[in-house]
Order: sequence, then structure tokens, then C-alpha cells
Amino acid sequence: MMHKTLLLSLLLIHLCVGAQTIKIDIDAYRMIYSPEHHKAYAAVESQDPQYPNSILQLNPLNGTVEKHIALNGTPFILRQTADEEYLYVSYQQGPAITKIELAGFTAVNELTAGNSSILDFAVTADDDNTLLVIRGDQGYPDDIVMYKNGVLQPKQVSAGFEYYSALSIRNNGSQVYAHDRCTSGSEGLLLNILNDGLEAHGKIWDYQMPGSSFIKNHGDLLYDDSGNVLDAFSDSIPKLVARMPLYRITDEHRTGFEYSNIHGSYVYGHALNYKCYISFFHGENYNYMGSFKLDKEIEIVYDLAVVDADHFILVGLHYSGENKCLLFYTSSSKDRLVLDTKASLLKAGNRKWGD
Amino acid sequence: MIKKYLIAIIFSVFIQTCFGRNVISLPFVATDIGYSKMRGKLYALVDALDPAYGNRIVEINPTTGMVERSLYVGTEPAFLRLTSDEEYAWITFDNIPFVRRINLDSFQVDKNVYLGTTRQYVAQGHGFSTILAYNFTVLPDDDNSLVLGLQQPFNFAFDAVTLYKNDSMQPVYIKNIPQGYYPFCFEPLSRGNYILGHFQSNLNNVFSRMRKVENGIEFVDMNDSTADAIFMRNFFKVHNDTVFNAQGYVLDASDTNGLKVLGKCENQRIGDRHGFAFSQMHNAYIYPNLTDHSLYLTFYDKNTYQARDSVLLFEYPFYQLMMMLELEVIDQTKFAVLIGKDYGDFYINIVDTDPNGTGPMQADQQPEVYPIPSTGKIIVDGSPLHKRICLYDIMGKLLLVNEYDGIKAEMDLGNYQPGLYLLEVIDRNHKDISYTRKIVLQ
Repeated sequence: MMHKTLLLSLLLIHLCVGAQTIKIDIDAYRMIYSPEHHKAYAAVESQDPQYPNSILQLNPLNGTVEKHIALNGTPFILRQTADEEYLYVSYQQGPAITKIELAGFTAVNELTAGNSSILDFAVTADDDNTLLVIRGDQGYPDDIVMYKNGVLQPKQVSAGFEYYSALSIRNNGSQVYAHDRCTSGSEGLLLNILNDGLEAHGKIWDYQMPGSSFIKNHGDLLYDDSGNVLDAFSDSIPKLVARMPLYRITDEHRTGFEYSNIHGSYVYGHALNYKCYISFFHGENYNYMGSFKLDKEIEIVYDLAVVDADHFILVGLHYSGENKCLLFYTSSSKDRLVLDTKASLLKAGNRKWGD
Repeated sequence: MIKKYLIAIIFSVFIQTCFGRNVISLPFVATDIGYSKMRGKLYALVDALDPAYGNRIVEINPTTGMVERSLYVGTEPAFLRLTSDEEYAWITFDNIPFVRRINLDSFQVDKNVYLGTTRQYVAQGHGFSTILAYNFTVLPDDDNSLVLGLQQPFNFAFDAVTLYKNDSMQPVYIKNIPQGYYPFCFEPLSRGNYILGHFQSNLNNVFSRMRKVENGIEFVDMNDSTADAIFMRNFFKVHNDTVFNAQGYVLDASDTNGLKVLGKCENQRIGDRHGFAFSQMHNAYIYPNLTDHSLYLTFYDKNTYQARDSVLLFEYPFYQLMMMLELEVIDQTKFAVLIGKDYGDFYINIVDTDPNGTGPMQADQQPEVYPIPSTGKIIVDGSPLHKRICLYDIMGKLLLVNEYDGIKAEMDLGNYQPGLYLLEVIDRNHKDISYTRKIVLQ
């Protein structure tokens, strides 16, 4: 009996320990992870006391700042090239996009997009010197354009009355989807990518990814910070094919999110009742698979990156605080057990419909 | 195997016997349920967050509460409607622009209707939109005809009432309803030639009548005959062109000039009465009756609308149970209910109010019914215990009652139209024990 109690206690201890959250008080806005270099990169806001207006290179497991580059403005959006050799950085104000060579972690080039601000941009997969850019002013987009080797291409698409502010390129590089995150209509527009610029493909579509602020792509599916999944490219009509029930488990619209090939899941970092969670949704049928609870009080999660099966990085806003922080989370065996148990329940036949 | 054991353990924990009633509480949140009398199965749509059955349709054995089959259908399934022949189930979704049909034999999705083809309905000046179905009904005698209420996603902006038929949206649709009384729910009348819709607010309680035409559906008229609207969910049901709603009103909808109030199943108890039904088996309207600590079902006479009996389902403090969303009558004493607190999560409870008394006929006591299909003659080869044969049409209307000796009966049904019918054989000693069989006349 005593042996059994001891074994049970050991098992419980084993299950309950192991999770670790390292909090680094750096006021980052965005963060990105490069598997190729096994480094994390963070865009730091102007009010950070130690690294204002900087790009940091961090150890992705413990958050140690290894290198930093001071910029001439507050960094906004980070995009890696497909081969992960370069990182592009746009600014919260101003028309510049800085290109950073990641191996040496040095700024190598800077693009200037006229007199506009950059609302969003994307790097084409086949040419890391071709950028698609939403240009605008005071948050209002003017047009969507292409730059090749820093040269503005002649075919451009006017934003009209739409407030496009997010771009995602089709997997085969032939099209880009422009998303309007500013209006209640949540409009979307498909654009064809040409050699000398862009052209509108078809109609503007309403209510495509309602409530979303940011979009990413997994294959040819677009997904957003609200859990919507849009088949934007396979037909002339974009189709909202799924909605992960993220809104049921978070009290803040803003989330950090990423599709993880390692977990075969859509992974969301989010807050609920001022607690921070990492939640998983099945990669094919979008079912909720479970959550990891972090031991930090967080009001909003701004960004998330998956490092490996057990390590995650989040950008969060402190509860009752003004500054953001970086969280480096190592999952426990209990976390993994929860996820595996739910995955095995789902495995009982939760395939895509029609399978 | 592990899954089966796990489910069995969970069920055994939840199964409770109280005061002579068997109550099986299923451990998942459901959004809708439907019972197939012919199949003897309960079907449910499971909430998206459930780890085992989320976003699936499940087939439940109502005797054991066991999930026998399940199928992933899409994210956030909302409404479930069985076709009148109970061969298929149609499903709509909360946030994706699809309607899907499940073949209940193979338990596979066999139709996937994309609603985006209705984009032409969107008002001028907007972009084009994909469309959601906010509610719908399946027309009788046609597994492939739906009347759908459409809206823009995430934003209840009425778009149209439309008819899906022959694998496509029909071009004639209803874009405007007078005074903006857009119906929130639909039921077929006159075997599907007319469709009744219902709008309700705290001031208005309005039925809209619509008519099926060659290439779609058209608006006919409105009727505000129930007058004293109480704010309740838009919900009504139809039995043989008699309409009954959540407030207990019973209306005659057979007159083409409009609806006429026939009476009211009076009920002063607290709680919303969403889960209600007309039961052919009980020959009564059944409404939930939620007191401050118990949930009853009350049976109302179909002619006088007076309460004639009540049965206790279970005791439940009111603060833990605020609403009964759905009611399915399984047999004389067994009911499936979808209950929940307020408008939150709803759970399925299967309640046998008299577990030692009645139920479906055991397999070894069931009669042989042949030939199926038949050109007219049907033979029922039964046991001495069998007493009565009842024939119903697919809408549940009683057509014929035949008393017999229980050994063998030959029935000439040559005068009836070709189609599907239900034949019910009732036990001699236990009038509540019956066997139902689908027959086909050619």
C-alpha cells in the first residue's frame, strides 16, 4: 500500500512539475522565430528602457539577448525570406523597410516606399528582393504595389475605399490576398502577381474573416487571430471553411498565433481572466485539443512563435501594466499528457468531413 | 476499445436512477438533437469544444446512451433536421457558409452545399459576400429540398429566404418581407407547398406565409394572430397544418386566408418552453414545465388543449437549469431533452419515466412484415401477443387501424398512393409496447 502511495505521489509530482515560464521585461511589439538559425528576433518599442527602437537576436529557449541592432525608428512588422537568410523590418511611421542579413545579424539594405507609411508587406518566395507593399498614410491605405530590388513596378492597385492592411501570398506565388482589418465589413481582395506589378483579380468580398486583425497562411489556407480559416485561392469565391472556437476561450480579441507543423495544430497564445494560455486546434478538422496554462498574469497576447514541441515564445502585456514582455515557455509532461490524451480521443475518427 | 471503455465509465458515472426513473446524462454539450423513430436512434450535434466529439454528429442508442457512430461534419454545427423518410440529416453551421447532408445509413456526408452562390442578393454598393444559413427546414417528401433563411456572416443582416432544390439554389427568392419582420424559423405547411415563417420581438409575434413556386419561393402574406407577444425565442412547430408555438398557442393554418387561434396550452410555470412537441403516440401536445426545483412534461389534450397529465423528468434547482431547448419523444415513457442553464451550454438527458413498464418490442417478439416494397398487399406475421396494426403516412398522420388476432394479417393497401408509410404493430397486453416498420408502396 505504501509503495503504491509512493509511486502515485511520484507520478503526480512528475506530472505537475516541469513547466517553466521565463519572463523577460523587454517591450517588444512583434517577434519571429527562425528554425534555420535557431534564433528568435524581436521588434522592440521606443519606450523600452534598455533596447529602444531595436531588433534583438535572442536565445529562443531562455530569452538571453545575444545581439541587437539599433534602428532609426520604431519597428513594426517582421518578415523573413523563404530561405531565412534575411529579415525585413518595416516601421510604425515612415516609408522605410530595412533588410537584415541574419547570419551576421547586420543591416544590409534599406528600401524607401515614397512618402508613405508601410501598413503591411510580404516577401515573394522565389525572389527575396521582391516585396509586395500596402502603402498608406495615418493608417489609411493608398495602394498595393510591388518593389523589385528597390524599384517600384508600374502596375499598381489602388486601395479605393477599402482599408487593406494585411497581405498573404498564395503558396505558388501567383496571387496575394489583401485583407481589410479596419472596417466591420472585413473585405478581402485577390490580386494577381505579375512580373511588373499587381492587378486586381475579381471582386471585393465582404465578411471574409470578420473581426480579424492579422492573417497568416498555412498552405493555401489563410487563418487569422480570431480562429477563422479562409480558402482564399482555390476558387474565384473565397470560402470561410472553418472557425476555431477561440472566441469561447479568450476574453481578448488580440492573440498570437501560428500553424505548427510539429504539433499538426493551429497554436494560439491568448489571455483569459488575466491568465495566459497556449491553445491548440487540430490542423485538419479544427477541433479544440487543449490548452497549456502559463503561470504569468497577462492581459493581452500580441504574438506567438513555436520553437519546437515543448518551447514557445509569446509577446504579452502585463496585467495592470503598461509595458509588454517576452515569455519563454517550456511545457511540462503534464501539458503533453493533456494534449496527447485529447489527440487520442480525436484520433478515434475525427477526420475531415467526407473522409 | 479504450475509447469504448472510457465512454462506458463516463456514462456509468452519469447514469443515475432516481425515484423510479432512469436518467442518462450524456457528458457532452450539444447544439441540437433529432430522434429517428424508424431507426430507433437519437442524433445530436456536438459543441465545437468537446475533445472527443466536437464538431461531429453522433448517433446515440437511446436505451444505453452509448454513442454508436460519429462523424466530423464541420466547425460549429448549429441545426439538425431529419428528412421526412429519416434517410438523411441536414446540418447548418454557425459561422461557415455551408449546408451538409448526412446519409444516415452510410453515416457519411453525401451533399455539401456552398451557400456563396447566393451572393447576388447582397445590396448594391457593397462588396460581394458569402452567406450563412441562420435557420432552415427540409420540405416533406423530398430529401433534397430546403427552405433556408440567409444572412451575412457574423452580422444578422437578413439577406433572403431561398429554396434549395435539385442540387441548386432556385432563382426566385424572397428578398424583402414587409415591415422588416424577417422570419427566424420555418416549417412546411400543406405538404411543403406553403412554408410558414415566424418573427418575434417583445412587441410583435408575426407569422409569414410563403409559397413554393416553379423556380423558387415567394411571399404570400403575414398574420399576427397570436397578438399578446411575450418575448420568447422564435420557435414553432407544425403537425398536420396545426401550428403550435413556444407560448402554448395552437393555431389552424389550413385556411389559406390566414391563421386562426384554436386555443392555448396554458402553463404558468417558470422557464421558457422551447422544447415542445406533438406526440402521435400520446395523442397530445407536450410542453416542459419547469418549476423552481423540478422539470416536468405536461400533456395537453389535442382537442381541448387542457392539461391532462404531467410526468416528472428530474429534480433540478432552477439556478442550475434554466431552459429546456429541445424535446424528442422516444416512446411512451422515454424522452430525450436538451437542457441547459440560461442560453449557455446544453446537455442531453434521456429519461425513462417508467423503466420497468414499457418500451419498444424485443427483437424476438417483432412481427415479420412483407413484401417490401409492395404493390398493395402487406402481410404481417406476428405473435399471439400482437393486437393492433396502425398505418401512418410519412407526416405521421394516422390512416388506418386494423385489429387482428396477432397471428397473421393480410392488408390490402392498394388504394393508397405509392410512397413511404409507417406501419406500427401494438402489443396486446402492453399497449405501450410497439414495433414500427417502414413500408414502401409501389
